[in-house]
Amino acid sequence: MIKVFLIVSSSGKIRIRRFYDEVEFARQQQIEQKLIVLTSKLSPNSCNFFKDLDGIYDKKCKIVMRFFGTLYFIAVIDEDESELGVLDLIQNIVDLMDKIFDNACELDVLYHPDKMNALIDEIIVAGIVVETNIMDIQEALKQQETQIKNK
Amino acid sequence: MFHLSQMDQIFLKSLADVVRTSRTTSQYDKLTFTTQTIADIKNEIQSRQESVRYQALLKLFFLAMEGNNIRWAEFQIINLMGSGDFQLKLGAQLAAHLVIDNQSQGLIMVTNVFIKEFKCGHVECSTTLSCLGTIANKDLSDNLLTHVLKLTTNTKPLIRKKAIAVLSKIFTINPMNISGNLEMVIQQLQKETNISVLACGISLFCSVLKVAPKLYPLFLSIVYDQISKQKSNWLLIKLVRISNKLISLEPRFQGKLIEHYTRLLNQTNSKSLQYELIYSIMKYFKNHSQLYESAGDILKQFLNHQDPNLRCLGLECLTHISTSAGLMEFQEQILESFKKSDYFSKLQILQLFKDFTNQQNFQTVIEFFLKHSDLESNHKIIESLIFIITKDKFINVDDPEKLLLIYIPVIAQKIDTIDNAIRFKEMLFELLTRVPGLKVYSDQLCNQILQTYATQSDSLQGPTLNIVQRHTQLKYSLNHREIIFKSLIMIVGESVKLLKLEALTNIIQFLEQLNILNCYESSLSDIDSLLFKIYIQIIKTDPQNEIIPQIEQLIKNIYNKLHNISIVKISFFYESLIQNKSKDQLQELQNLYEEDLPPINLEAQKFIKPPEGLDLSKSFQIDIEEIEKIKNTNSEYIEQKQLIQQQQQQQQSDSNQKEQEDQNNQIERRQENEEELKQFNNKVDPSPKKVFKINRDEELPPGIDQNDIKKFKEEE
Repeated sequence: MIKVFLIVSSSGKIRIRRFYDEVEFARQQQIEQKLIVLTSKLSPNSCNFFKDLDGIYDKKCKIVMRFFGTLYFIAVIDEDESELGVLDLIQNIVDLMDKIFDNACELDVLYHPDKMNALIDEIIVAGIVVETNIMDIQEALKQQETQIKNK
Repeated sequence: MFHLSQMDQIFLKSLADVVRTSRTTSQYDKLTFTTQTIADIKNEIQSRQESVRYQALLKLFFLAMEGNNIRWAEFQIINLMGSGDFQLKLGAQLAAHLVIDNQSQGLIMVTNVFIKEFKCGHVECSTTLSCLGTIANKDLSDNLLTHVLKLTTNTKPLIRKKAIAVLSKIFTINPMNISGNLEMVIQQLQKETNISVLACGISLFCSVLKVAPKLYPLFLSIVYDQISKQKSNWLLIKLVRISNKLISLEPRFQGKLIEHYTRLLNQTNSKSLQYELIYSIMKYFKNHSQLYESAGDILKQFLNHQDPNLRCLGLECLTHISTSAGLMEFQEQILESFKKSDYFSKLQILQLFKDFTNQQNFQTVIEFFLKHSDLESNHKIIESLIFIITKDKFINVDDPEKLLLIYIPVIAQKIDTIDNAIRFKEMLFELLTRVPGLKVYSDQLCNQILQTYATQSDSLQGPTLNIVQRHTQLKYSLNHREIIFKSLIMIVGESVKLLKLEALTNIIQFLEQLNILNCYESSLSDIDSLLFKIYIQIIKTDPQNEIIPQIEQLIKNIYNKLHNISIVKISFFYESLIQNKSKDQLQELQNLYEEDLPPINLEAQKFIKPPEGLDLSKSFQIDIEEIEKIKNTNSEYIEQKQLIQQQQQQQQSDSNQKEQEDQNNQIERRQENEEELKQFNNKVDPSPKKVFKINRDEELPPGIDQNDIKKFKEEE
C-alpha cells in the first residue's frame, strides 16, 4: 500500500499531495517537510529507495524517490508494495503527463491542477495502485472530459 | 449567492492570470497579493455562475500548491460537491483532501452527497470512489459500506476495482466490517478475469491480513489458483508478496509453491519479479537446496549489477541469510559494491556487517572500512566499527593487543562527532577493564593518538558538548577531540604505577608543549591530576630524577591557568608529599601554594549564615593544658597511622614480587615447552608472546571497583 504520494518542485513547493492513511494536517506538514529535506540526498548514481530509518512516517516503511526535470516524485510505501513496481508507476505517471500535456513540465501542473489530480486519482485509490495501463487510464480521463462537455 | 456584473466579469482573474502575477510579484508584495487573492476567491466561490466558481476552485488549488492554508474553504468545497454541474463536482472532489482530514466536522455532510453520486452514471461513481478513498474516516466508511459492497458487482471493471480498493480502506479503518462481507468479495474474485480487479483484490487480502491474520485460510486457495495460471508480472509480484505472509502463517503452504516458483524463476526476465522470488526463497526455502542455489546465483547478479537499485535490493535479500558462513560466500562482492555505493546503500551494508561479523572476518572487515571511509559516511562507519568491536563483550576480538595498538589509534583519528567520541571512550574503558594486562601499553596508545592532536591546530573546531560540573557549577564545552583527550589522560593516570620511567618522562615532555595547555583548557584539571600521580610515582622510585623540576614548573603553569583548583586534590597531593619528601624539599615547594585556597563553592557562604552570637575568629579552646593534651594524642595517632601504612606497603611489595616470580616461571615453562616442540614445528616463534585474555564475565577483575567506573562516567 502507498501511504503518501507527493510531487514536489525543486524549490521545495508541494504540487500534488496525497495521504492515504488517516493523518492530521499538523503531522502531514511535519512529514512533508522532512521528506523535502531528504530530496537533497538524491543524486544520479544513488539508489532511488531506502528505509525510513529516522521514522519520518513509520520505521517499517520505505521511501521511494525519483527526479524528473524539476519535479521530485516521492512515495512512502509499506511492506506490501514492490519498490521496483513503484518506480515503474512513477515512470508511467510521467509518460501519461507527457501524453496529456505534450512534453510536460512543472508549469503544466500549475496551470492544470484539476487534470493532474484527476490523473493521480485514476492510478492510485485508497493507497492501492488500481491501474497501470496507460491506454485504460487515458480512456477513463477522456470519459470524464466527455461528461464535462455534455453538461 | 450573487450574479457578477458584466463589468466585474471583465476584470475577473483566471488561474493563468493569478499564476503569472504570482511569479512576477516580489517577495515583499507576496503577502498582499495572497490576501487579495483569498478575498477574491471567497467572493467568487459564492457566485451563481459555474464558470466563475470553477475558476475560484482552480485558484484554491494554486494557493495550496504555494503552501497557503485553504482549510477555511472546507464548507464551500463540500457545498460544491453537491452541485449539479459535473465539472464543479469533480473539481470539489479532487480538492476535498486539501481541506478535509479525519477530524473534520464537515465529513458528516458528505455522506448523503456520496450516496446520491453512487446512484448516478459510472463516471460520477468512479470519481466519487476515488474521493472516498482519500478522505474516508470511521463514520463515513461505516455509513457507506453497503453502497460500496454493491459496487463491487458493477458491470464496469473500472468501478469494481475502485470499489475493492476503497473496501480495503474501510476494512482497515474498522475491522468489524469484515465479518459477513469478506466472503462475498472472495466469491466474486474467484470468478473475476480482469487483472486490475484481481490485483486490487490481492491488495485487499494484504490489508485484511494486517488487521485480522487469522482469516488467512480464506485466501489460500485463490492465491494458489492465481499463481499457477497468471502471466501478468504485476499481478505475480503481488501474489508472491502475499504468499510470503501466508507461508509465515501456514508453513505447509510453502511445499505447494516450490514447483511454481521454480518455473517462474526459470522463465521470467523481469527483474522486479525475480527479486520478489529470490527474496521469498532466501527467507522461506532454505531447506530446498536446488531452488536456494539457483536463487543464490541470481542474487549474485543483483549484487554485481550496474543499477544501484538492483544492488540495493540484493543487499536487502542478504539480510535473510541467517548464518555468518552464508554471508561469507558473498563477502567479497558486498565489499566491492560498497566502494561504488551511495550513502543509503552503504548504511545497508554496514548494518549487514554489524549483524554478521565474526572472529574469522573481523580483521578484514575493520581494515576495509577504515580504508574506505569518506566524509559523508565516516561517522556511520565509525559507529558501526565500534559496535562490531564491542558486540557481546568483544566476542569478535581474538587479538586485543593488535586491536589496542593498531586499529584503535586509526579509529581515534577518524572520529569527527561527539557521539562517536563518547562511544570510543566507553569502548576503551571497557577494553582496558576486561583485559587487565593491556594497561601497560597505555603510554604507547596515548603517544600514537595524542601526537596528531598536538600538531593539528583545529582541535577547537566542530560541534561541542556543553557540560556543567555538579559540585562547582562550572560550565565548559568539549569537542570530540577533547573528549578522547580527557579519556586518554585518565587512562594514563590509572596506569602510572605500571609504566616505566622512560614512558612517564615522554608523557611529561608531551604535556610541556604549550599549545596542549592552550587547546585543551577544559581538561587542565585532568592533566593536573595526571601530573600529581606521575610526580609522586617518580619521587617514590627516583627522587633525584632531573625531570622533577620540570614537573613542578608544569604544575605551577597549570595552577596559574586554573582559577579554582580543588581542595581535595591539594590535600591528596600534600599527604603524598609528606610521606615521600624530606622537610627541605617540602620547604622549596612552599612557594607553589602561597596564596590562600579558595572555598569549594564560592557561592556557599551566601546561603549558610553563621548562627547568631557566634564569633568565627574566636578560638574554641581557651585552656592551654587541654590544648597540649589534644596535641599529644594527635601526634600519637599520626605515628600509629604511619606504622600501619608502612606495614601495608611492605605487604604490597611482597605480593608484587610474588606475581612477578609467577609470571617469570610461566614464561620459563612456555620457553621449555617451545624448545621441546621446535623439532616438530616448522614455524618457530622466538619470543614468547603475551596472551591477553578478555574477561567476559559480568564481575570485573579483582582490584577494580564498579563504583570507580561509575564515578568517572558521572563526572563526564
